[in-house]
Amino acid sequence: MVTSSSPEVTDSESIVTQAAEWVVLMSDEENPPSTAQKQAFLDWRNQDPQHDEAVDKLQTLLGDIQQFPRSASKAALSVSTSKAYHQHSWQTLAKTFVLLMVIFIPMFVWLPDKVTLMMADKQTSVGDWQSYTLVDNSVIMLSSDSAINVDFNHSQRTIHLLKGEIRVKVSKNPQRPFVVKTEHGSLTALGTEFSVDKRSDYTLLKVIESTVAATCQRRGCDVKPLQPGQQIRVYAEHLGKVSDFSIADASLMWNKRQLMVDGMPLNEVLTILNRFHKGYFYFDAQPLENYHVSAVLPLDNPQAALSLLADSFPLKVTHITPWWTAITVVPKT
Amino acid sequence: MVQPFNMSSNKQIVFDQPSYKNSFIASLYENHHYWLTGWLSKKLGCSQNASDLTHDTFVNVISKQNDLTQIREPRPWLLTIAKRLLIDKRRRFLLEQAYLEELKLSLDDAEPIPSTEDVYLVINALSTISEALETLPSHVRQAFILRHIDGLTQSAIGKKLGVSTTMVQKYLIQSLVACQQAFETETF
Repeated sequence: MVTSSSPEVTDSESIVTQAAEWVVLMSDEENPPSTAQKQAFLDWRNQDPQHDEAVDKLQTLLGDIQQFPRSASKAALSVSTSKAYHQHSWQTLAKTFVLLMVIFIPMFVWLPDKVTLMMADKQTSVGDWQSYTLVDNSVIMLSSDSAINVDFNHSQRTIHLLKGEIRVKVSKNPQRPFVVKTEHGSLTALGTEFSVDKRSDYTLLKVIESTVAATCQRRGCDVKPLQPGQQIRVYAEHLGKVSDFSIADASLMWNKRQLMVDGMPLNEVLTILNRFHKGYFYFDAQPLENYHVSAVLPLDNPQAALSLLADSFPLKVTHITPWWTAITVVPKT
Repeated sequence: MVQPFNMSSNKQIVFDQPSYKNSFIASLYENHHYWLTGWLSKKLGCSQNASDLTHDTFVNVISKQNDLTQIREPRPWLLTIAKRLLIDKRRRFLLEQAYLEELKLSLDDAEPIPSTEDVYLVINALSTISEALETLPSHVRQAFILRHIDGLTQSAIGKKLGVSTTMVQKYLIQSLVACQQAFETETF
């Protein structure tokens, strides 16, 4: 128990510790110290007046404590040494709650979408193109930054387009219609080729071969099945007007990875380009709507495409970070 | 109750300090006591307690032995001292309340009622002990209370805490040293 009582150690802290060691050892009722131990204790006390004084102080302290009313002292020490006085005020609780909400509410809004995308059956990252042959021999191509879920059963083949753009070449089977669904509506085809591009507020259907029927999500809106070379915007609430597009131009994108546009508003061009670019294009759509683009742009190199656009239009392109590119209109002087 | 300052060695230094330090403290008081009182009255909802606590905070500042001129950010520093004093006060208040309540219950009619002075001497001592135990692990704390308040033997404490008697002795030594040191550096 008593490890050292060497005379060199005179530091007051170690004297207190040694004195405490002796006092504890000497006060064990069940294991009374032997005569030799008692003598050693006496010797230690006599060795140095400081030793004697330290033992005296401890014994006085313990003697005093013994005189304290027992139950009241016990209550006092249990209360004050428990964490009771560390309790949080309501203010602290309220602040913690608000902070948690600020963190969790966006997470609950953002996470389900992210998880759905992460769990998607097939997906491509930015700049990536993939082609898959499904079990029914239909071929599906995913453009950059796209994701789908495949849901086939006996009566229907369903593709859920979660994000981005796909081109489908359907293997004919009248018993099992082939349906592409997005949050905006459904596109039903029987043995045909078409592309579907999901954008933020609508889904763009382009029919390349045979016919495709389009319906929107909410009301039972219908339109005559679309013919090759026809396109339509499917909004959640209604269908847009059927218009024509060039199949050859559209195929350039899938075959050559080039975006062929003819009179497309500049803001739309930028939206498409952004899907092939790892960062975010920041622009105000309003002033860009008035500029119409007719060009062939390289989709594999969206930065080069952007420079091409900046050469022909009064645009100012600012790269704030690799992830953030601001595009503004500079009126010509 | 009031001990002369030379009782503890660190107190003396205040009087040995060169006068520029005293003038530093004066300017510290002048510049900061007003907002500190304001902050504390908002926090405590009582201007009387707030000015008491402000006073205590500056007393605490003066009794510090380290070089005050090194303090770059007096506001957060003063706030830290004030908050710590506030916690000490709360601890002391809870302790006092628990002690007095239990004392009332435990006193027999036959027993003589202890004098107020005696009661407060015990409360002061318990407060010092509590502060010393506060810094120790819970087993050490419990060992001290079981031994010196409940009067259990060392082996009984070992059984209760599920440790060996040798371990209990270690706990008792540690807590005893902490308490002794707390009484030595006692400021009142």
